Amino acid sequence: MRARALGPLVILAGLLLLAPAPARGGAQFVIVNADAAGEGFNDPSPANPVGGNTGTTVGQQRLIAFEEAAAIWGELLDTPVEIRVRATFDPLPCTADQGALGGAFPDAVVSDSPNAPLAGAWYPVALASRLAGEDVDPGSDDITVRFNSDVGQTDCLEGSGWYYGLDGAHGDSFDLVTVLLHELGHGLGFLTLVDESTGEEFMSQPDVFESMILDTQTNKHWTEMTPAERAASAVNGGHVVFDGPAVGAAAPDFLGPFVGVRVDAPGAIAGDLEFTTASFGPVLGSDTLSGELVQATDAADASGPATTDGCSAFSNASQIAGRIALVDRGDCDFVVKAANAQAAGAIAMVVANNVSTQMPGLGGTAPEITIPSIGVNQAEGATLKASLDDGVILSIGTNPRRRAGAGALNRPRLYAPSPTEPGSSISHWDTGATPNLLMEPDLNDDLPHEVDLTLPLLRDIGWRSDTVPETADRETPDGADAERSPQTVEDRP
Amino acid sequence: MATRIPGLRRFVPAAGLAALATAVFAHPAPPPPEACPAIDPPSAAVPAGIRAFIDPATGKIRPATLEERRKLAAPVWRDRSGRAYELQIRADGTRIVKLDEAFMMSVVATKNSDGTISYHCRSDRAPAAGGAAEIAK
Repeated sequence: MRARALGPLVILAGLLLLAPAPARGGAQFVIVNADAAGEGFNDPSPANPVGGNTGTTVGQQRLIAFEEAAAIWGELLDTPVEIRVRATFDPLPCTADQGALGGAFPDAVVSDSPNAPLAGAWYPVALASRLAGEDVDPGSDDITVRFNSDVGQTDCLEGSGWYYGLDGAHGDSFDLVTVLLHELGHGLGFLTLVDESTGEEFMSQPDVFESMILDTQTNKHWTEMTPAERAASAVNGGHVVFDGPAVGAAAPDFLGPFVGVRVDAPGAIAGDLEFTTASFGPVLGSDTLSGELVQATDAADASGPATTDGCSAFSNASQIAGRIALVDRGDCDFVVKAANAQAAGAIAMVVANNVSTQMPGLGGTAPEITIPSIGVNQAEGATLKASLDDGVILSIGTNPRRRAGAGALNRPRLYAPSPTEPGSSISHWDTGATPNLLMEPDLNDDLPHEVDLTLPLLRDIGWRSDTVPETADRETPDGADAERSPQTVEDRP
Repeated sequence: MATRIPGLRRFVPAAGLAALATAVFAHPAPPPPEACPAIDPPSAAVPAGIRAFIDPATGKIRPATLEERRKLAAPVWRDRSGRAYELQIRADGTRIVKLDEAFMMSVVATKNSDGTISYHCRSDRAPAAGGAAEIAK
């Protein structure tokens, strides 16, 4: 990750500041510190400066990290109206193995406000104010942000605390700036208010994000659908895209070449294969490969009761060697199946779903796995199995005409798993995006402190700016950081 | 100039109207209103027509009480879990609804059995747990 110099900060604890709008292009964030004395942002516990964060108490470092994230967004957006972020650092629900790191939401949504391009559509309040050129909800905050102060303590993800540094060198800790950039993205408008489970719109009105959601199978935008159609589209993974012009234009700058899996033979089923990728093994497409698909068989034993689940050493290893192993999902971890396939000499593994829901990405960690793996839906798996006797030949390689994580016309896909995941579905990019994007539902460790394809999306919904370049790369040619607007901190009395 | 979205429907408040009926007089056969207009203060969005309030108990026209006027001016909508959201309509037609933590998009960290940590962003509308273990097998 690239280190960035911290811009000038305004940290005036205990004072009420009402900063004027910035003189140049940019957005002025006001961090409203709503914590009580001695806790959260006011935690006086000593802390050593880390990763460019010069704070000497835990509270100061939290505040500086918040300002860093606000400054990154503030430099890229353009609004004459300050964006007020009510922020707290409090204990949140947490266990030893799982806990909420933090979250955000727009404090209000607004429709039919001055200059709003779409009548009768909800806009997040900060954006509505930006479009109106004045605060449409004066006296109120725009975004609420709440983070977990217990992280890293006993019984709350112990051993994995917050990293308050500004350089992204978080190691095994949670990078606060990255999580903040993601959450502020939601607060600024990267979300739909539609109930993904029912397809019902919030208060029976569409929202501006929703207006650009397109189902490429029905060729309908969500605002043209009935609730039932929206609910069906919400689980139509791979076919739901964000149809905004700025996003479409910028997608090639942020998404790598699409890695495709193609059925080359038999001719009756030849064509591109929809698939999911694995978190283990080599990056798909790093090497082009082609081979015959063969059903792997193994003993029905304690490791897995089915003879096609790949959970034990393959009994037909001689047939698998040099070919692509086909196994069924279920009974054991994906990495166990991959290890057995690799031990049998397979050059790749295909896992067919054993249920009709959408095949998930293949999770797990196994550095020893060196062959690529993919997952396919149950229906595609059945089609492949039915043709095995005719000789199924698969090839895996990059397709330079398409982008990873995008559909036709390079429109980036939105996350649409089945069954739906409230809050995660639709209001995030699809996990197939490569390189990883800030607004995927599964935050990745390799994210730099940048806002990638999220910025064009915000521009599409109304955060336009003539003062920043089309790409989100904010580095100047000599590598120095661009100047940032100072952000303001305000203590809530 | 504002653009209307295809398939757009306007919000029609349901709550707060149970005890009242609204009638429109004075203009013959006006088109049905897209939305129940705000009445407190009188809204420019309804430039024509006179609204009267019919007491459901007596069936007679009477002035609305302050509480009835407040309810009509601030319709309440409930989501499927019963959470209530109040619509405020400003004199210039701006419509504002305060959101709550049901719309909180939260990043949840999970320690996996192999020691790695995964992150997932979801809303408080989501089930409390589940899903993460399934993707390992």
